[in-house]
Amino acid sequence: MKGQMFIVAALVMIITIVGLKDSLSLQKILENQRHLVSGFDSLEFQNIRSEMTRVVQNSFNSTSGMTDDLNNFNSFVKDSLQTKNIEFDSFLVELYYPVLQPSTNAVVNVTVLNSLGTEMKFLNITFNGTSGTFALSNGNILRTSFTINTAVSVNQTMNIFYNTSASSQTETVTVPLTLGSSKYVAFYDIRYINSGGQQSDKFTTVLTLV
Amino acid sequence: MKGVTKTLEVVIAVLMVLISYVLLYSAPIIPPDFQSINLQLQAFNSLQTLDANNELRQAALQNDTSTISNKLAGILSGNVNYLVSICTSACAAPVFNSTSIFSVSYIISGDVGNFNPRQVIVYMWS
Repeated sequence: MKGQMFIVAALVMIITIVGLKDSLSLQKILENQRHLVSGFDSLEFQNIRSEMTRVVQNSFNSTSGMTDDLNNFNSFVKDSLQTKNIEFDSFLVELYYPVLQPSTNAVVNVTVLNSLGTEMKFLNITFNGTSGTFALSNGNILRTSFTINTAVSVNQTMNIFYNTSASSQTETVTVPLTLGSSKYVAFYDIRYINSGGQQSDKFTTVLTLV
Repeated sequence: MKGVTKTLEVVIAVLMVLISYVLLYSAPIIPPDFQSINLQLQAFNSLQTLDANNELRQAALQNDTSTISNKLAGILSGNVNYLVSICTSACAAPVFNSTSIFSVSYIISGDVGNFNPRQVIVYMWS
């Protein structure tokens, strides 16, 4: 056997040792752990998401209560998570209309909460052919209203466009206008951010009050 | 002379293998901590189950930590120490002797007609 063969055999052994090290795969174990942690974050996020919709359902006998409670609950969640170094950002649009009569004007009250951690330099809301343009600082609430008049029950779209120093967003909220009925519609854009990543969701809830 | 070269090559080969082994395995492998995350998942799921069975919300609204503790006793692993705390704003963490403490918090917004947000926190240590 030539002497160089020992070197070649050593190289083969080194490759085998490296292969064994990789197959132990601490990385995979760590990845599994990260997956578990992420699953836990997701559970916490789902808890907040379901409670946000529950706030509105629990306050159904008071439309002003619904809006105030939802905004207060949002602050509660934000403060609670902040103590755990978790950032909770949200953008909420809540609207309410009284019992609709055919071809009769009705006022739709709209409340917008900016809790995204940044100022909305430009906020445009378009509903039923009418637009309103605003600016909304972080942590502030905008209250505005629109007039609607419909002869038949119809789904109306509310378009919301805003831009911040970081991004521009367009949101579309479908509002069912139902004659003989009063409804509360809430649009949520919620984001849960920690060192492990971000969980976010956008959803709408519709409550028939009458 | 040929024998000396051959011996030198054998020594080099052995050294290569040894150095590689030492370099690859000298750093201690610290296994990740699965116990805490598993317990956190277990505690959170327990709170969620209690809530789904209407056994959490009212107790939390009445600041009744002992009822929640008793209910958790039947669900959580027997070898885990835990403490239930309920708070309405930023919660002050209790002081423990153990250095290995972890917690889960479950948020509730109140109940029908009663907006009263609270955090139910379960601290666990071994």
